[in-house]
Amino acid sequence: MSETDEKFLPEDLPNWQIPYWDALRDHRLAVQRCNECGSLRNVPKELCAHCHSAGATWTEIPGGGEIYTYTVVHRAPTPAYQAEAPYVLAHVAMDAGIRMIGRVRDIDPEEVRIGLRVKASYDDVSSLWTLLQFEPET
Amino acid sequence: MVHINGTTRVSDYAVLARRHMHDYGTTPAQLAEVAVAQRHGATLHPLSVNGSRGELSIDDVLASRMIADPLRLLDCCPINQGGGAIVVTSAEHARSVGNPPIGFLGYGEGHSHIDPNALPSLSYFPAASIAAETAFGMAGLTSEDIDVAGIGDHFTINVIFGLEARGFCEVGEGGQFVERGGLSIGGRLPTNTNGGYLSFSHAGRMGIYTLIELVEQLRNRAGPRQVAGAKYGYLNGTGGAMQNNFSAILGEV
Repeated sequence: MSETDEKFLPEDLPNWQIPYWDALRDHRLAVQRCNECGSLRNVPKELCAHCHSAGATWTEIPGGGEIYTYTVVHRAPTPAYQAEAPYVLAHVAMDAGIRMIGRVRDIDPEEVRIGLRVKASYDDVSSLWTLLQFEPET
Repeated sequence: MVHINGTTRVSDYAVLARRHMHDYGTTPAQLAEVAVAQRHGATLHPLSVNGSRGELSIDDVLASRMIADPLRLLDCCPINQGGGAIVVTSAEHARSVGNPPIGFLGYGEGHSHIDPNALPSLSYFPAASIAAETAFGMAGLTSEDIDVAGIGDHFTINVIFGLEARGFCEVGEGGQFVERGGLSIGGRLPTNTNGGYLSFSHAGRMGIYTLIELVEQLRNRAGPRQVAGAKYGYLNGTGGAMQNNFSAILGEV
């Protein structure tokens, strides 16, 4: 098993989730917008969490936001992650009005604060997969 | 896809604890109060996993190693082997074999979301409130009637969420509620008196131990852990990262 595999890449994704990952590979952020109530969905979902409608349209959103909450992980789930610990995980309140979860790179864990402005960046972990992460907005 | 970023179950709750601290000023020392109170109960239970390790102090918890900031080792339940069982029978049969029959006077469930992103706030959890309201409504009782509680405590912060969601204190005041031994036997709401998942056992369907302890308390058979005159118990379990909740009110039937 490669180190990349030890970092839990997605498996057996249903087709309707693929646009999210295709966008990340192109270094863009795309989420579903509910056709009925306009709510954004993340992670990809078959039904809207607010109005339970199925129909949705993939929509590109800007990458900016601020940290809503975070943790610094000292005890990681696998050796591959542990090699990078301590690392910052944040729930980011995106300017588009939805929260997204990702690592925050290029920051001293001691410097992370709720409210800190961050922007999306993209971790190309293989030719097939790119993960969403964040970095401080400069 | 939830774990692709290196999240763990501890980190799932750590972000909730962090937000609660931000919104309400909850402190690591207040989280530690939960672990300290429950360890005391565990020292009084011969079957507890961690009771033999002795009492904890707040400083012990604050000095334990960081797992996912702000949760430290002693804010987290261990994982161990074990098992428990209950016997379900009629009230008449229980009485005939000399056991006060303890039953559910009310129960309720609440399910609010799947992804944490779907909740407006990550420091208050409506699923727990819905479950508790339903249970109390069915029982025809209020929080003031409760003598002893069992609240799922995978992590210290969970107990604070559980207290606030039910309204044992105001939302945001859970940290103050647990201070100075608020959850201890003899405290304002004795909770997880066997030590809970944190210090009694976190094996398998560990809610069984919480249920057993409440039954022992309500039968006045909890020995040195006995809450004097305990008549009604509140049981609460949570699933996921506060997404799913179950509550029940126990008493003699």
